[in-house]
Amino acid sequence: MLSAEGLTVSFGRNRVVQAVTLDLPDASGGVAVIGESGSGKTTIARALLGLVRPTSGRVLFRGEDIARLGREGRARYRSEVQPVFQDGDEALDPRMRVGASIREALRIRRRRGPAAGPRAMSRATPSVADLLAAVLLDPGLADRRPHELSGGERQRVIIARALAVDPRLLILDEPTSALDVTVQAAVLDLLAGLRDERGLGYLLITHNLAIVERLCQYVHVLFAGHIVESGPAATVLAAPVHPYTRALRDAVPRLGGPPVPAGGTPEALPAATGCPFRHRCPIAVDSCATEMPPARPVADGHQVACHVATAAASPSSRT
Amino acid sequence: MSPVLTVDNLRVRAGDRLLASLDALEVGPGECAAIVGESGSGKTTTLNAMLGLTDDGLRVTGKIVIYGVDVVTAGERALRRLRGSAVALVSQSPRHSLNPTMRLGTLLRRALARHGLHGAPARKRTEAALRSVLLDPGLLRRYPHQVSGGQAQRFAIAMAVALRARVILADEPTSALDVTVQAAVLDLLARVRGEYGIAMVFVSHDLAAVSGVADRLVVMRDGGVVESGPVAAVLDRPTADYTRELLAAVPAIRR
Repeated sequence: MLSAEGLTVSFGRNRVVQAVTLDLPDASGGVAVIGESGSGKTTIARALLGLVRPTSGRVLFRGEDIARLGREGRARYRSEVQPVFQDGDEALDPRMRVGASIREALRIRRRRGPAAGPRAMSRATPSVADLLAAVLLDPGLADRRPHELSGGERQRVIIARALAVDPRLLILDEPTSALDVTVQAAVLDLLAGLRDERGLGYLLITHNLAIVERLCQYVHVLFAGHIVESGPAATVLAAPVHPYTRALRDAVPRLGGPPVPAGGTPEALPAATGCPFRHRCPIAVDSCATEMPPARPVADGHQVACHVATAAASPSSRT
Repeated sequence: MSPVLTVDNLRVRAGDRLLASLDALEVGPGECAAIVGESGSGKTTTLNAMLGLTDDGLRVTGKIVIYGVDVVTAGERALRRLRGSAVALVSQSPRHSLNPTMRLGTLLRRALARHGLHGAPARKRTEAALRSVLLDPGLLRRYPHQVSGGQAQRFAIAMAVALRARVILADEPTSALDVTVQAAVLDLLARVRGEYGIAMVFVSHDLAAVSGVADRLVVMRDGGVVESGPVAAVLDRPTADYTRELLAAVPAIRR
């Protein structure tokens, strides 16, 4: 329903996202983009939301370039694709009671009417209380202002507001990274429940591999703006092939286990030529310095951009 | 070995409200105690009390003895002496705790000079400390904003090593870092405490991250300790419901 085709975004001379192609489903499915700070994952989210213009490549909504959508198409795109940003106190207007924030979104939904497509009209418009109940919040919270809520409650309000326009796809940018671990688990449960009940599609942007499988069936691993590995979540997380994905996975702390450093200094900057990961790569060869490896299939639906790594030759360092 | 840091009957109050309480804690050379809990549990308040950093209006009672000095009753001068040498703080955002107007090299040189180390001995100490944290000496020419979060954290640990700190108090030292950098810094903390026999108190909300470095766990909630004991025992046989809840919430991936 929403896809990026050869998406490239540059800020000045800085290429932040390089020729990224991905497809997002609109029903009960999740796709994750994982990567560390500076990998370009938030820029991809912003481009998919039309907040950043691609330098080259396109973002397609139901087959149409979002830069060329007409009035109706645009209204439909705006209601069907909704962002849920990391809390950060920034996503809600601090002067508005949270009920008013949600009501504002509901008003937009009503005003849009038929332009938002037949689907929006087929369901009765919910009330603020309905939406708060949907995210398992006490409807009494509608009278509070954002600063009177906990981080977990605020995040639920942001999700409720996104649901107000009856979206098909939520773009979740680090939806739980500002939350305590028990609150994080509750918000992930809520998102998984909403996906199944309402048939929502998710794009999950995160640096935390451990939350991916809860919400997503498919993952893309991003390093320095390039997708270096893509595939079914279960395969990529259980048997990663690209050395970067393996480093990411091994670095997730395990209860009681000693920390597993990736070797070298993970702070090293991406290489400007050839494969961007080569300065940190334990298996780099000469050709990595000159050529960016193209993505090649290693199994059904599983692609890796590496000159060297193969599923058999790079068993995981830990099992 | 006799403990480097001892806490006895610590209570931190704001008026009638109890913000943090810790009945007993002993940390010996090369040992690491982790205090875990969520926001509002009192873990950072406890750590700040160990540094003698308590806001006006907070009342601290009990004893915190570090290297023979009772932090609770010590005067400002004694505290400053303690903080500059025996006790080092590794904070969540080291780039913000380093003076932004000075190059890293200048910061380290000044700190060493305060301990009477100048010239060649100071340089030798610096080189060895940077080697132990895998930092390129070229980084000393940079200002704090010119290094990454992971590099700044390595530098903060190098400072502690160079100044021969006996105790490192670490407040969420890896929470702001990417997962691969986090693993490297955790590994570094574990090695430094072994190699130099530094005692550590590690405060975090991340049970999985601390469990690989610490040998004792203190689980706090709402200002009180709900459970404490050796790491393996708390992880394998948690006694408090809250600890079980925390353990269940730790996201994991299949390996």
